[in-house]
Amino acid sequence: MALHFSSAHPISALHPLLCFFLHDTYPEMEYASGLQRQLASMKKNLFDQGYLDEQFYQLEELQDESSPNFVEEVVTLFFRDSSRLVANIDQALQKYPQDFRRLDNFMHQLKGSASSIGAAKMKNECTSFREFCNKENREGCLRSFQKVKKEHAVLKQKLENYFQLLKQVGPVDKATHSGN
Amino acid sequence: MEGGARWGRGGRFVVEGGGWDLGATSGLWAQCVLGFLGAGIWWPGGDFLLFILSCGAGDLGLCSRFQSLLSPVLFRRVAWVWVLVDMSSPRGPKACGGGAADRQIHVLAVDDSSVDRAVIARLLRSSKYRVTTVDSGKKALELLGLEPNVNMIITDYWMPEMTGFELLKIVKESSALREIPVVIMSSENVPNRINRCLEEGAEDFLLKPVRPSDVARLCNRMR
Repeated sequence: MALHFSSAHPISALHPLLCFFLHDTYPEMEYASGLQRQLASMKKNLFDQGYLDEQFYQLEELQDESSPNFVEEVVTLFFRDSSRLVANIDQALQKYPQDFRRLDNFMHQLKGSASSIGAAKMKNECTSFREFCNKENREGCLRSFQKVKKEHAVLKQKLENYFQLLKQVGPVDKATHSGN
Repeated sequence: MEGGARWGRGGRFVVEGGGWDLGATSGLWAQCVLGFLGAGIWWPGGDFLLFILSCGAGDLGLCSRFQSLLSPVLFRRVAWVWVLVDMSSPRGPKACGGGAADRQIHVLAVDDSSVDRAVIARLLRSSKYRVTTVDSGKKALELLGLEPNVNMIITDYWMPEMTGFELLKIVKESSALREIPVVIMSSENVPNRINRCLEEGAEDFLLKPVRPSDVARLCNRMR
C-alpha cells in the first residue's frame, strides 16, 4: 500500500490533499487567529515563568468531548478549596501558642491541591512554609505565608484571564498547547 | 521487531522501537519513526503505519536518511514515501475498565480533596472505568456495606479521621471485602509508608499527582 513519487516538489501538490486528510490529527495546520496567538502566548508565559508545570498539561490531556471544561472545573474547585484553606491558615496563625501541627495539616492539603493542578510556584511556597513549620519558626511561617497568599492571588488572576480568553477563542485544539 | 506505538501530545503519532527513534520535528508534519524494519508495513496486529516525509523546512537531512534506510528494504529510488494509515487500535487511553455496562469495572475512589477526587475520577473514567467518589474512609465503608459491586478501591493515604491505611486494614480484615484490591495514593514518597501499605495487602501505591500511565499499570494488573 505504498505510493512513491520521484517528482521534485511533490509537497505543493500533496499539501492540500494531506491538509484535508490530516486535519484532525495535525490541527496546527490551521492558521492561528490573533486571539489564538494571544492565548498561546499567555499560556507559554504561564509555563515559562513557572506558574504552571507539566501537571497542567496532563489535565488538558484528560479533557475531551465528554468533559470539555474539565480543566476549568478543576481549577475552580482548587480556588474554592484553596481560598478556604488560606483563610483557615490566616486564622490559625493569629492564635497563640501556635499549633504547628494544625498549620502543617492545612498546608499539606493546600500543597497537595496545588500540585494536582500543576500550580508550581504555589507548591514551592507551600513547601517553604512547611519547612518553617517543622522547625516551629513562627516568624518564618508568617513571612512564608505572605508569599503563599501572593502566589495564590496572582495565579488566580492569571488563570481567570486565561479561561476568559479561552472562552472567547472557542474550543482550542489540543495541538496548540504542545511545546513545539 | 518490537515496537510501541503511542499518541504523543498534540496529536503527533510516534512509533519507537529498536533505537530508531528520530524524535519529533516542528512544523506541519509529524515525524514517524521506523520501528519495524524488516517486518514490512504491517504490524502483527494488523495496524499499519503512516509515513509522511517532509523534505522542506530543513528536514532534508532527515529525508535522505529515511531514503537510505528504506530504499534497500522497500524501494530503489524514492523522493517520497507515502504509506496509508489505518489505525485499528483506538486512539487515546486504553479502554481498560470498559465493556458492556454490566461488565464495567467499578472503582471506589476515596479522597478528602475535591480537586484530587475530580482528577482521579476523570483519569479513571477516561479509561472507561465506572467511578464512585467519596470524601472519607467512613463513607467508603458505608458504601461498601451497601454496594456489592465494587471491583477496586483507590484511596488517598492522608485523610482526617480515617487514613487510607486504616481503611486498607479494615477492608483486608473483612471477610466480605478482603478480595477487593486496594490501591493507595499519596503525595509523599515515604518508603516506610509504602512498604507498610504493601505488607498490609495494598495492591499498589501511587504517587500523586497520578498519571495515566499509573492507571494503565493498574489496568494491566487487574486483567
